[in-house]
Amino acid sequence: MSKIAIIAWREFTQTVLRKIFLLAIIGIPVLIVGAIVLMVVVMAGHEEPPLEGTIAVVDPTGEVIEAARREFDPTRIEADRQQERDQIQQATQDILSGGATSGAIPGINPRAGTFEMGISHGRVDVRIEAVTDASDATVDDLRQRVHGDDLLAVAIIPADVLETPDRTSPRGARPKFGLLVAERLDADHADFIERRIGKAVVRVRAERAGLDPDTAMALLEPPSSNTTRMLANGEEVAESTKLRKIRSLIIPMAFMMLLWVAVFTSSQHLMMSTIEEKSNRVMEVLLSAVSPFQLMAGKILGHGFVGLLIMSIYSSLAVIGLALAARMDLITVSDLVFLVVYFFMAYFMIASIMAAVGGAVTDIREANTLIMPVMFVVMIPLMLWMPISEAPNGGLATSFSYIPPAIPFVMILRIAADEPVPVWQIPATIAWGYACVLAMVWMSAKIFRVGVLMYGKPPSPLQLIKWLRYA
Amino acid sequence: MAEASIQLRGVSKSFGATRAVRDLCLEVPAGSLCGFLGPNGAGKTTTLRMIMSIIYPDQGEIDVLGGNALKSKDRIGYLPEERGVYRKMRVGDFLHYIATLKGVPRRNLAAHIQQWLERIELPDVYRKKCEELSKGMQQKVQFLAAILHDPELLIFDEPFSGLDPVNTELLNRLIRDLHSEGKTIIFSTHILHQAEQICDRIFLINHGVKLLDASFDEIRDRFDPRTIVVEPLNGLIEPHGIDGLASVRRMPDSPAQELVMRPGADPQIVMQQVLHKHPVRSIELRRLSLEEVFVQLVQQDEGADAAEQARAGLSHV
Repeated sequence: MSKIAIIAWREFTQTVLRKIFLLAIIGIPVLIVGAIVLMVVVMAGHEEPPLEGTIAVVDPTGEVIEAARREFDPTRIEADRQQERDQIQQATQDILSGGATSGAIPGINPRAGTFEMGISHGRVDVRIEAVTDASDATVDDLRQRVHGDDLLAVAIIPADVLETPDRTSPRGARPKFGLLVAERLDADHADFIERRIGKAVVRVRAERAGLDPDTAMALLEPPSSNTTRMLANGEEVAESTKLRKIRSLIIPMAFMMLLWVAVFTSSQHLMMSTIEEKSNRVMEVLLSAVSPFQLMAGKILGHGFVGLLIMSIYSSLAVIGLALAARMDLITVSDLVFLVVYFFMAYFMIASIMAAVGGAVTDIREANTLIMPVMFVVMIPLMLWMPISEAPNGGLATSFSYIPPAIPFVMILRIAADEPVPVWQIPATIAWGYACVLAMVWMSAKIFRVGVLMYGKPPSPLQLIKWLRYA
Repeated sequence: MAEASIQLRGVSKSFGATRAVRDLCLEVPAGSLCGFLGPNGAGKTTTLRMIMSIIYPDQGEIDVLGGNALKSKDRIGYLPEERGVYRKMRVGDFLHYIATLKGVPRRNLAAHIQQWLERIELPDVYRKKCEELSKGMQQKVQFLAAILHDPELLIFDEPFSGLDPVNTELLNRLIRDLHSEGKTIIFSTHILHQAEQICDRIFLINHGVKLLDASFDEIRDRFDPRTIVVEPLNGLIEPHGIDGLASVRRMPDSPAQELVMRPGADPQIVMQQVLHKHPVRSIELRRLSLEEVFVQLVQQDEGADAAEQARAGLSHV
């Protein structure tokens, strides 16, 4: 067995067989899933407190008072809530089944996966007290009653708020109504009262314009569409915009995060183990047996397999999850192949940086200052994932596809996005990316060679460049 | 002379403004046991690292086993000055790892390691984690890591530092055993009497410059002892009337006195005269220690102040 392979094997087993590693690799997804489940359970179990009491509506015209009584009518509130629930359900169904059935597993009903957003709204039992006298004395009196917990809230409707608003004026400058709420009223309830009174005002405005309020509100609701996407191969596929959002944003993001997590976890391990060897002085023992390049190559390979293992575990979990949800159509086999191709590119780039840094410093704090600028470049795709995956062939995405070490991260975002990347760009970025890998490994080996036996003051980035010129 | 295992010709190395090694020439004959001596900071570790091709000289040539050390890594055992083990690794796994890196076949390796662990009186540590061992034990494990692959050339950098007397003796014995098996050994130390006990050849360096390169016999011939140490029963020894005596010194913190002889005087005759004139508790001809040889050499070379500094640098641990 070659020396590089011996080193790689030790690095791999010593990392993977540690309890802490197993805990982290299994623990983290369990934690994430657990947190989501917990959130859903808490949300489902959460019961809003009932809203009970009296709201005084100060309205000299008396029109809003009448409309408010209708808005706070329990049957009307229930009808509105039902409509909201229907909308949410429709949306989740779109996401999970997407109208597509190509990847469905027989026997599993995609709809079974939908769940109702189980927010149970509290009971509403509100009496509207009519106040047509808007004088300061009356308002003061009402104010006292809010203090004394006799009233939940006081809505003060000025006359101008009832006029048809001038939509050319800025929103903040348009007429408003006043709302005094008791201290004990929670924010959701205050918000609820504001919306209901607001609807009552809209109702009055419609009536004044000579329209039937219910008809007017129904008229304003935009219809949704039956969207059919016409593919280049002549196929036509039904889709919903929400589904499209997922396919073009969430899936690329997931691919990139997978790459990111695998690359960073493993190259972080690589750096830590190099720093460990330096700080506990095993380095010289090793260097009496192997050359610095063999040592670095072995370490990079060993931790590369760690990264590959992490990525395989997570991506198989994701594939199983997708299969269970019958949404295998969201990804393709070629996506997975490219994931591996770009994983090695990303890993070798980041790992060579980490190895150089690990070799150059003596402890982790020194490492952090050197890693900062690199982290910044690699954070770019994380920060730009929205614009890049929305316009995967835009100028931004294309230019970052050629800047190491962002290349693999940006490319995986673009490939997993819906819009196909121009065919020539994939081999071009792969060739250019691996050329960069060679250059980075070469530089890293130089720095590693000089750095591993240096102790004391951590080198500045300028010194690192100087080391490149050493024999 | 036998063929040289290591040859250095005109080797120099600087670190910034510090000249660690200057124009050094050395020859380690095959099969010899050489002590590489000098005070702290003399350039010993730098030289050994250059021999190992861990760092490279600015000038000069180094020849190790007929090439450079990189080519014959598996034929060389090296115990670096910087001691280290993988703290979380088991002792057996660590030794296994280093041995396979040195090209030892895996067959029977575990048994071989266990045998050696018993030889260094650590029979129960195979499955222990390195961090569970004491510093001295770790050092012995490291020593094993350097010799497990049965190399023909052994290079130890300060092998005794930090060991208690029992383990120092153990290591001493191991080194002598390895030597009698025909291995070529060079080890550095700043504690000269350790070298006196076992070496057959000595290199002395100070400030990166070689002061002495000789076999032990040559040293004895060159540095003839000129001092007699006497502890009189009472009073002081009077130099008058004793032929061949140059001066008398009282030794600090002791009732003994040092009698320095004139050049050419016969120590036997001088001692007889002393015994004749004074009742003594003890009398002996002092054997010149390496330390004195070293101090003398520095004195000749760089004057008294440098000699004092050099003496201080040879700390007795």
